[in-house]
Amino acid sequence: MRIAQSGPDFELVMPRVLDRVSWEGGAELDVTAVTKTLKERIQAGRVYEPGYDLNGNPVSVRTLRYSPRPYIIIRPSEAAFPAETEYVRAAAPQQSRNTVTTPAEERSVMKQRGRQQELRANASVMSAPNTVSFIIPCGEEGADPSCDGGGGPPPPPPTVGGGGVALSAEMTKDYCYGNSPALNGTTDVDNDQIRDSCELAIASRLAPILNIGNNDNRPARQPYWAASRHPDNPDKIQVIYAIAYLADGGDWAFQFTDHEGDSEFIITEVKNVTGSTWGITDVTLSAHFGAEEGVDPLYQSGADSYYWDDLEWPGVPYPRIWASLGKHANYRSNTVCDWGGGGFDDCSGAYVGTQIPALASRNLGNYYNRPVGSRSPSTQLVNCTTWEETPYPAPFYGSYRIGDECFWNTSPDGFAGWHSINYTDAAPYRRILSIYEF
Amino acid sequence: MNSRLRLFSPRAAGFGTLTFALSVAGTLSCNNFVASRDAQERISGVYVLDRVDGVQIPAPLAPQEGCNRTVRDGIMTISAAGRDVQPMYDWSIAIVPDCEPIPPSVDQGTDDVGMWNFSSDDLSLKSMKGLGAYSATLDEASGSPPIVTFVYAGNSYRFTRVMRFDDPQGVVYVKFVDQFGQPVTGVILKFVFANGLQGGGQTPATGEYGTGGIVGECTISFTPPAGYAVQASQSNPFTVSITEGPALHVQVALTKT
Repeated sequence: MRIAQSGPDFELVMPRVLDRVSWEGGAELDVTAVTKTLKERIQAGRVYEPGYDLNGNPVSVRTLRYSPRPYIIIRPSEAAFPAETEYVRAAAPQQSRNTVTTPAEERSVMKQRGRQQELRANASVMSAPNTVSFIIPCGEEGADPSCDGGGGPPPPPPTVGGGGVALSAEMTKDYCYGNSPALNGTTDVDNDQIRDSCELAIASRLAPILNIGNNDNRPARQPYWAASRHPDNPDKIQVIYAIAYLADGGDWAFQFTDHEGDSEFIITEVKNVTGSTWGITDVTLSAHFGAEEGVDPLYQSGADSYYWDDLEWPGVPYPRIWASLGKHANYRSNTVCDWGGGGFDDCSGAYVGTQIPALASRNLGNYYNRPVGSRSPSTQLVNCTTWEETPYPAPFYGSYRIGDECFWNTSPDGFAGWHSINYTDAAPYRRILSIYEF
Repeated sequence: MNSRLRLFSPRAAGFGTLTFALSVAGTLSCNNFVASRDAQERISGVYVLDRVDGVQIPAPLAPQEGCNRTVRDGIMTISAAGRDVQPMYDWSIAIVPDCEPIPPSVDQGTDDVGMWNFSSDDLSLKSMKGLGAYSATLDEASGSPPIVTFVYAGNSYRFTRVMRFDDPQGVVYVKFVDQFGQPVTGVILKFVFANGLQGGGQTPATGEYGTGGIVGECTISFTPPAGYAVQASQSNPFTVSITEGPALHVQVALTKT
């Protein structure tokens, strides 16, 4: 209390998304408190912090490594509080759930906060005001159905980045979704309810620009892609770009080291604007996905989603995404990249951007976006595949083996760095495809 | 008191729950721990569903909306932490109703992906797909493969491991060409590996589809698309021997009719 009374502002945070959506108020919870900021703790090499469980027993809380137990941390504020904080809290609608948030709320918050994160990053001030709330006003997309009050402004107008792109004249929504003429096994081979010619056109014409640094020590990659109707909004299409780096170049922060296979991904959400014009409304970017749910100091989700107007559109209808040097975490601007990963991701030096290739031969197909009992593996078009890109000399890539890779295989090792029988150090693409329902 | 300690997040909804939990200070004893990589790998592997509420699959479930339902199959994988990823699991359970059309409210099974850790003798699972936190029992009897059991929608599902993470595996590619040497698109394939695990896919424009599985005999069956026939000399299904070395490449000739 002495520290609380005399020191800087402190905040009480349950920092991990996974804890917020899964902890139901049970006794399994650790509590810790620190006086150093995240950056100071990283620089000091701190991994554990002393804390207590709810029985009052001393425990070590792994705040900068994976913690198997949910935890709350009291720490110096990383965001200023608005004067009306208590009013906001008191006025918030009552929820019937037992968790802190729901996955839908987390997704909504990711999108809400994009603009504020950008402003803060541009200001280069980590403690700049942050008014992001986990409350979704009743009636808005993602709100708890049991909401009994509130209300708020309507969502942003439904527009798309860069104005969208006009595809071939026949590629209207009715044509692409098979309303007329109907789809069949020839026109929709992977049975994702999207005409194959449309999904290829959308995936290739609206593929993001991937900005890779000239100083990246492991840039080799062989991207694949897949499309499906959006699971929460079938009127939209989602496209995942599985970038499939040969290797992760490592980073000294958090004691991350290099490893074979780097399963980074970018997901675009695409809507029909009018006629045969389609455009991107939202983009989800992987950044240390699966590794302690990401290492961003405030959010730690590992895969944040953004509205189109929080992204860079360099005069084209597809966004420019920045890959951090070595680790390949995806960011929506150079500035945010330098601020990401707890401030240790880096997009310095010269960068060159090219659209991610979405070739017809690299369509992974589809599997998880139908009810489990009705799924058919025959809709998987590419599973195991071979490295086709320019081989890299051994001294550059060390002992990495360039062989086969499998995207859908039911195996614990999954995507393993272009060698199918090597144990993985990255999240398998199969699980990513399942989470996002491709 | 001029305390400067304030709540940042979660706000509102979580606050009541949070303060309640902190004030009551639960009485349960928890022994969760971060197991060594060796301990994690000890149970890593592929598990298949064998029993539902103690009944061998295919097992009946309570009807819904007038539809009789049967649990057809299920699969679960558990993996250890790697350099850049935490211990993860995933599972899928397929429930087949016998009615047509199937009302939307009828449960046809689901799947989950998340992170796991040991909790005493059991496993603590945290969903990344919105199923929350739940536990699974782990049975490790000497001389027998490990068994994982958890409850989903009121029924108990038991999975038994059929493949360890380090069992030797290999890759096989099957390419279909017509009598003119042109690749054949749309051939539907089914693979059954030596340990009973199955896979499948459909040939893309390259005419070639690859999959991986445990070393040993693999039975491959296929269905050509309309306009193609299986040549008389070609067995269907046929078997190949999966090896751990370089990938096996098989070419099958079809006749374009």
